[in-house]
Parts: sequence; structure tokens; C-alpha cells
Amino acid sequence: MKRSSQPLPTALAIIFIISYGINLYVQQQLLSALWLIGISLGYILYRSGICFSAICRDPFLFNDFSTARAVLVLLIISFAGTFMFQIYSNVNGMDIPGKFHSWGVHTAIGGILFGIGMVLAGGCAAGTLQRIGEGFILFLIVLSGLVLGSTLGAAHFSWWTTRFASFKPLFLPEIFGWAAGGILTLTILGGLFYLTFVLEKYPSLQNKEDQTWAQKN
Amino acid sequence: MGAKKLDLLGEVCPFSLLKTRQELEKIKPGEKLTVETDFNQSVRNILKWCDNQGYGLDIAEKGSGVWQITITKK
Repeated sequence: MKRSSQPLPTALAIIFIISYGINLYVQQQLLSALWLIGISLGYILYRSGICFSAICRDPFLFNDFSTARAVLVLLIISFAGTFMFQIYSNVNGMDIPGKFHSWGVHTAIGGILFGIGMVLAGGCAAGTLQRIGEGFILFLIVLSGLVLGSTLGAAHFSWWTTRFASFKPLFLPEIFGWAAGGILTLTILGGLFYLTFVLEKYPSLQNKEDQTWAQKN
Repeated sequence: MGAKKLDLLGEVCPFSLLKTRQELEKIKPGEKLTVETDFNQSVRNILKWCDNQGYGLDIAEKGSGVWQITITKK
């Protein structure tokens, strides 16, 4: 395939990244490190073509579990790293790093709302930013919706937590101990990974839905 | 016979692949369908799905960020 390249914008972008990085380094060294990590992550996200909305959408629509598997691998790797860091903090008497949130009916409602928005818009938060970077102007509208929705969500978040049963954060090592908690988490993630192969072999359900959709439209 | 054309410019996932499949339903085996998209995720989606079906594929980058995929139905 013939690929079009844009040497001038690429050169300008590299010059901007380096010069702004030096500028940040002079002000505060940590900022320049964060700047480079952010850019590297963005580049990896773009090149890998990972789409977080595809994880939950494509298995149902196209019987395609490849992105779902990729994200499960991502979760397993990041879990291993975070877990080691948490054990280290626990052993050394530091606060355990991580975000621990209460959960309940509101979690499910929020998940469904987010899922509908994500599929209709064609991208989640990371995907939206990535596509704006690629020059897809349409996603600026999605980003506005995302900011508006998050602001509205934050504004009435307490309304949900006070009206619906809210359970305290669940941290498996707290219940089962560090070793069992870690093994259980890996077993769940590994089980989901295995499940994708099992479900892939039974496409009949999805295909029926698909054909109905195609006939209707 | 020339290939049937499908304009998907401005369409995002999953609609690009859904519409492509819908058009592919309408053509006979051996006929071609040319789709034009500016959404790189859709390019991957369409290529992968068509490849799984065993359809013939030909892709050309028409300009910066615009791809033309020619699918031959099997």
C-alpha cells in the first residue's frame, strides 16, 4: 500500500516536543518526564490502534474478541505491576496506592450510560483524545459532550451515593490476604481471557442479530 | 463491471463495518465493492472482518487520512 507521509509537520512536531520538553526541564525536571511519558503513551495508543469501546462492542457486533483479549493482557500486566507496588507499600508501612471507590447500583447505571455514549460516539475518553490528535474534527464534539457529561455527573454524584445502596470499596487482599487476593484476581482475569476463546467458537447468536439488523436497514 | 462504491467519509466505528457488510449482502460473489473511509480504526475493522470471510482485498491511501478499500466478494 502506498503511504502518504508528511515530513514537514512531523519535523515541526518533533522540534516542538523537544523544545517544550527542555523548557519544562528547566522549570521542573518532573514535568519534562511526565511530558515525555504522556507523549510516548499517546504514540503507543495510536500505533497499537487499541480502542477501548471495541472491547465491549465488537464481541457482540462482530464476534471479534481480539481487542478484548488485548485489553485483558493489558489488565494482567498492569495488575502485576500495581500489585507489587502495593505489597511494597504495605510491607514498608506506607499508604497502599490505588483508587478505591464505593460501589452499588449507581456503578451499574453509570456503566450502562457510559457504554451507550461510548458506542454512539465511536470512542471512549482515550480514543476521543487520540482521534482529535489524528485530526478527526468530529471528535471535538464528542470531547465537549464528554466534558459536559463528566461535569454534570460530578455535580449530582452524591445524590446517587446517598439514595442507592453504596457498598464500601472492595479490596481482595483485605478479605483473602495478599497471596490469595492476588491469585484470585489473576484467576478471574485469566478466566475471562479463556472465556473469549470459548465464546468465539459460538458465533451463531451474534450472527443472527447481525443479519436481522442488515435486513432491516 | 465496475465496482460498486460506498462512501463512508465521516462515519465512525462500528457503523463503517456494519454498512460495509450491509452493502456486501447486496452484491453477488465475484463482484467488487469499493469503500472509502477516513477513520483508521474502521480500516482495520473492515480489513480484518473481510479477511476472516476470505474476501479479496485491495487497499490504497488516497490522500492523508483517506483510504479506499476494494473488496471482492467470494
